[in-house]
Amino acid sequence: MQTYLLGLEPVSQVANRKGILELGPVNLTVPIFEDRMDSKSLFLTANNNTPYTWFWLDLREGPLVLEVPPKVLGAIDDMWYNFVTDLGFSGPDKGEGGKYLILPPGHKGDVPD
Amino acid sequence: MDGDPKPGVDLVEKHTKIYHLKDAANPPARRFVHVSGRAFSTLAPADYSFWVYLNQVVQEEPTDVLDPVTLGLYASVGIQKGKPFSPGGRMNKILSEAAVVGISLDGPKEVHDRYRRDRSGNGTFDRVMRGLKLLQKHEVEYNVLACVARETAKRPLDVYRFFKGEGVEFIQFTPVVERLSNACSAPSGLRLAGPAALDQEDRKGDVTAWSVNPEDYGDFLIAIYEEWVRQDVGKVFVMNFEWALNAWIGNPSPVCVHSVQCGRSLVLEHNGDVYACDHCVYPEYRLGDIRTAKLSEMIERSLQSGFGVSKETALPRLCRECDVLAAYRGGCPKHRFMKTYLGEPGLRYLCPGYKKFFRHIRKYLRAIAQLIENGLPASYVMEAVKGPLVIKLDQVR
Repeated sequence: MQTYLLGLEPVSQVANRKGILELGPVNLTVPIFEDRMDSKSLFLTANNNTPYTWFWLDLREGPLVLEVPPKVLGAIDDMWYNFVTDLGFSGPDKGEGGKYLILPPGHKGDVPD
Repeated sequence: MDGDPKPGVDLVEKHTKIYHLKDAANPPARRFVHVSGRAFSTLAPADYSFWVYLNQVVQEEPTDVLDPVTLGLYASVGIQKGKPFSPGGRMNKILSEAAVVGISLDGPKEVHDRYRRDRSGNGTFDRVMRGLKLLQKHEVEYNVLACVARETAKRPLDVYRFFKGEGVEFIQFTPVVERLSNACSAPSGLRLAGPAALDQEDRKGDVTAWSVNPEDYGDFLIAIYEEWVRQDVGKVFVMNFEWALNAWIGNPSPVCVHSVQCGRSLVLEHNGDVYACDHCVYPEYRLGDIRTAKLSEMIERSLQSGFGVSKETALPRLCRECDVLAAYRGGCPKHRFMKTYLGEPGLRYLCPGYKKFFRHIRKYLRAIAQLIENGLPASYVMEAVKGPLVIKLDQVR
């Protein structure tokens, strides 16, 4: 039972990634619930009055730049659902939008400004 | 923006960019996919593939961020970095079944399938029962959550005896109450109405055709209680009956619906709005904005003078003076959209049903409470309902 509970987070992420990649290639595809969500789309803890967007970042090919739009509320989690950073209103860009550089785990090499 | 997601969506599509650092000068075009109304799943599987997915993550991702206990537990089912995951026949079977949890079941097939259907309109009874059998086979404890809709309420004993016959021990009944969209909620495109305003008169009290009739719900609970109190005390646990007893002996309620005050399950929305309850995410219940106010202060304000308190203070006089107030506590605030016969707003839709139920079972609660006070098992009440119960305490202890 405990193993199941501890596995639920990464397994949810695999399922999440699988859902996203059915829509298009990784790092290039951004699904968006342009007119909110209904029960046809199966999600955990989603509501029906938020225009959600979310996407998968694959860092295996190296660092990624993410340009976050203004006026959003979001976060980045890793594969284990560990918190990485807030984005938007609660993040460093304070809702004004901004560029984020996402480095792969164990990144050696230079970190540009 | 004013309920229209388009400006926000446009802003996101204009500004969101993802590219490799090395491609910064010439970023590839990203593709926005509109997915509203699209049938696809991002849910974790509830079968053997759960473990295949977990193994995939352990193999592909760095595991050094995990604590040794977690890694050890993964290893205990055969999932370890750099090693093949190949459970044998028995382990395979155990893992297939371990990923199944929880159960929503409304009653026998014709009752359940009347309201519980899948997207293609087919009943889900057979699939739910397969899950139930699996839980029972492996002695996994489960709680059946049964919704009581309009037609369900007319068949209390069919429902209850079906559960008993299937060996269910823990049952919780939830009344289905949904209001048709009204002047307040229709403009935002909602098909169902939001909760009634706490201290204002609401416009309309029309419910959907599948919502339970209040008095039917009372009769439904009474019929089941009558059978339970004669045959099943101590064997079958109906949460609604346990809550009633709990209130009768003066304990604080374990559920928000029957608590004096509520509002401790906070909700944070996409735009920073904070609400006191996930059933009340509507403008009139907004506690504040996470960007400008402190969470602790918002909660404090709500608990001291706002939403949580009004469950108690906004009760109409009829409720405040009601003889079953201690058990009911007015129920869920979202259902307070009726008027009392004196014209006072704030009466709960289910009031007539709950009142009938609580009044009816008082005699049994009194007996059970006496048994408990004297250190005797509650199940003795089954003897007591047959006639005068004489227990010689020295023989029992």
